[in-house]
Amino acid sequence: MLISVLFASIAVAMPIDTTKIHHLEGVVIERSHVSENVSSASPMQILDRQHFSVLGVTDIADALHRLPGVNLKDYGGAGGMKTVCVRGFGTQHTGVSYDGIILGDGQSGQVDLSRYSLGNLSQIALSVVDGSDIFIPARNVSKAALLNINTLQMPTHRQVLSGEVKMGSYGLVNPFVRWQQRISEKLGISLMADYLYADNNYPYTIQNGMEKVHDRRQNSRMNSAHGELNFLWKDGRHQLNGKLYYYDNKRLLPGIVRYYTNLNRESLHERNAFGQFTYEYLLSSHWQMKWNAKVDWAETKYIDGNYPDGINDGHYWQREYYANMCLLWKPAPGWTADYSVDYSHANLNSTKLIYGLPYRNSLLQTVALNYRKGRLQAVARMLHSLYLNGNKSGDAADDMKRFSPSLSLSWRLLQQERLFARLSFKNIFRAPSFSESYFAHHGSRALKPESTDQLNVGLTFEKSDSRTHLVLTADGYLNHVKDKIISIPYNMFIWQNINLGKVEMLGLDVAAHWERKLHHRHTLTAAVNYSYLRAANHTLRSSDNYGLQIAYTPEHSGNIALGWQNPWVNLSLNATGATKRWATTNHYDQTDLSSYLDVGATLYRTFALGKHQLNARFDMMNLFHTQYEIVAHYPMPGRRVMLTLAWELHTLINNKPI
Amino acid sequence: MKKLFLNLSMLLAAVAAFTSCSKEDNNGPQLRIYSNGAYVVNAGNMGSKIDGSLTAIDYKSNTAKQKVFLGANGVSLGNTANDGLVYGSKAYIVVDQENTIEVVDKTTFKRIKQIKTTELLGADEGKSPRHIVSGYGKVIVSTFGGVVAEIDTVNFKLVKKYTVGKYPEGMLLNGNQLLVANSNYGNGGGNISIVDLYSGKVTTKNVKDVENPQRIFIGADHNLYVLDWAVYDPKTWAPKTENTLRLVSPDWTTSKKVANANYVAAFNGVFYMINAPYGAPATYSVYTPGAGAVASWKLSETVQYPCGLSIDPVTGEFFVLSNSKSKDGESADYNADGYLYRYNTAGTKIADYKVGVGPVAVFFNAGAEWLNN
Repeated sequence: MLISVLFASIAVAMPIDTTKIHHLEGVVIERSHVSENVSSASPMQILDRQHFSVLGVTDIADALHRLPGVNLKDYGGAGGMKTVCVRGFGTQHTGVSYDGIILGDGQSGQVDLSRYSLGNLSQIALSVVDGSDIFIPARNVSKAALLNINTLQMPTHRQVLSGEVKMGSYGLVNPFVRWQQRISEKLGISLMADYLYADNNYPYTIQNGMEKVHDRRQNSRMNSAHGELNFLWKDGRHQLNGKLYYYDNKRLLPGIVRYYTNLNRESLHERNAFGQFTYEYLLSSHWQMKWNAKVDWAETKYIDGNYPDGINDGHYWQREYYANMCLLWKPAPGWTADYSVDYSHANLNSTKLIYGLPYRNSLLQTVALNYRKGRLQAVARMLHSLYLNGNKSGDAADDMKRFSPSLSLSWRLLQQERLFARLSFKNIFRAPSFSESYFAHHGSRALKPESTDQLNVGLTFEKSDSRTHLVLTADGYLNHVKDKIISIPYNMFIWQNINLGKVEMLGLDVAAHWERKLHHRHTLTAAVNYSYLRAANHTLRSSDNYGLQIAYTPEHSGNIALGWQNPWVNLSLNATGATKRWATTNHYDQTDLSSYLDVGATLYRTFALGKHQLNARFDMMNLFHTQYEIVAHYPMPGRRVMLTLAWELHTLINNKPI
Repeated sequence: MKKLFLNLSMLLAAVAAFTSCSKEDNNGPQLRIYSNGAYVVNAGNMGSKIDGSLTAIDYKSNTAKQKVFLGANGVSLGNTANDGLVYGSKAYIVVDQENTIEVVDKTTFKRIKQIKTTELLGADEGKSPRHIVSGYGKVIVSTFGGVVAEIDTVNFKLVKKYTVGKYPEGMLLNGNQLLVANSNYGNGGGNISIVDLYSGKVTTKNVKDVENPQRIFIGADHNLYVLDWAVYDPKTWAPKTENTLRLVSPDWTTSKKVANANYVAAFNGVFYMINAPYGAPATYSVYTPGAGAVASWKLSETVQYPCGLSIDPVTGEFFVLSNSKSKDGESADYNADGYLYRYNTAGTKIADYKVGVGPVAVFFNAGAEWLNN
């Protein structure tokens, strides 16, 4: 009913004119002085590099806390696994793209964000429901939400050498070096490497009945390195850019905390290498093409030294080959259309525990229309997904094919004011991961996809004058998940994944960003986000669990950050908090994780000495030493400090901007 | 193997008969055997932040009291309690993930001593204590570190440790021999260790068709029986063997299937078995060695998701543990309190009790005491 009303409205809306447009003359994006998160017809939140300091963002986990609707699963400490859930959906419903191409993890379907250090990032952006950009691969719209991680782009006409070192509590050392060079007028390259070591042996306090247990995390050393080579080549209508990426992390896992022992001997060695390339070609003023390709290899080696003879150890290898083509057409003013097609082949093998040699061929296609005229913007998209599952030695999971529509509209309410109303809808599903289909005990080949519906209604507002800039966004939403994949036991030994759960979410995300120049060289910044989320288990009406908030989902969560930039030492303060969460679906007695507020402060200053630029930054995290857990039995670190020294050397090259 | 067969319950029954006859005499001390209650070890659910706990069922008041260890001590048992027993005036609870054995007063549950198995045996051998048996003033604990440790019950010091096979689970004290079921963690190739407690000599017996032994019993025919759980293929997770109770040949070389079973308890050498196969209703059977074939065991009412079976060694009453049914579907709920059905010797249900999350073992507040007149 609702869907038909929505389609009726797009049918009516069509004959008028569009949104964010890729100007065919170049790669300039029209913004008409309206910020992207305000004009976007679907909820979108952006955090730029300049805000990392102003708002006191310390790492990628902290960055994600600044985005409304995000619920981070954090196992604690520098390098502890961090995965992201958006608006009550499971982690697997959020795609993560790295410089425009989705990071694949067919094995578990979730991306550990602790891999991505802020030093190399230019921006993170979260689009929920559907993005306004249509000139993107089909796979980028195949999830309920998309987190874009964008790295620093090539310098236009400089060579830059930068180095950074972070030192912090509990043995954190994180050096980072990057060299960027314009080789010629057409070619630029950059090379970067970073290394992170942390003991992560932070103290914690947990409650054991009436007593408090004070201990330290053990066996939690992090030892990771990451390197990248990027290039950009541009010649007239052609542009080619690419990346070679390598990541290696040998970490010890502390396991869950216990009351009377902290002996644990698990370790995880992860390696990931990929190469990705994007080629764009401007055919004419009406046509533009883009090709993406990626080859990805990942290895995970899990060793459980708690159990003799390597009985729990597992060694996994994944490979993925991916290719995409996008074709953009601008038939008439206001109209833009895109056809994108993606193919990927992914496979997984292991020493044990994975059934057979599973692989998956995916063919995703989208047709999208972007229309903009006057005060209206509309994006309509249809995705067709085809997942063909195979297994070289054993049964394969069921194949899946489906159409997934989405629609988003934005209407500028007042011609003179940047005040917009928006409405978006999307129906999308996620295919079961390899683990869900093939893992020993649990895996089931008969799983259906987990299906989601999202409906979002929002208001956005932006105002600025010579001294003040204000952005406000507020979105209310209704989500629905059916055939949720859950694991149920048949007996102590055999668990099975089945499609059972249903969840209804009702939520509100509010974000405000305010900046004011007080005086010469004094600026105040405030950023606030608040999320309300009621995510109710609707699996079985007659069940006592019906209507209970789903596990690991706070009803209220948010962040507030204040920054004061001044000629002496810049200062920022921030606080992140969430209300009570449950570790169990049935809210079993004492399985709640109590609410928390984590407060941090940052001092920083930039010194410029000719071609040299030096940034010094000092962070104090969890100032009040709040003891809390995000994942049950994984206490988060208490009070700690971090010192960052960054140095940059710029040399102008007598070349034209690339 | 068939030599001295000392069944505690048979002895106690005999003593009971004797003492009840001599009750009128009123001269001199009397030996009284008793069973005052049952204690349920609940593993909890580590991943869901549910601690292990101890439920105490008192026969007199016919009530079950939850979390008695926490109630008496103000602290929790911790993660994944796995086994327990009463020996003398004390109760011992083995907690796998905490590497502890909690020694408490058997009536007040006040902690007398917390034995840290990793301190007692070192980190390698002391990790994950699993099961416990008692006798001759000692308790003996198996650990996943591949040892069994004999611990003094007065000073709680290590008396002696024996290196056995891989992943030992249940044990049986048979005269001066300790028989240990080495499971090899369900990977197949499990075996039996025989520890001679006098000489300290350990011999390993590989029994044909015994791949994942969990418990060892003596039958009424004085033969040895092994509960052998299924072994699953590590890649396909298809079962390679069945869950069975097996009769072991006297020379420990071969074995013969008695019946399919996940849970077994013996009383007077008679086996009571529950088989809860994958995706099918549980079946109940009884086997009296030397008295014909396996028969169906009639219970007046059965539980939904059986996860344990014990028999009071004095009264012969049956105790069947169960997980609760999930409120959202047709499966057991490992995050909800389980329950226990109590049956009389005729198999008629006489009580049910709520227990904690993940019930794994029942042990009895039973023993013998001298009464002075």
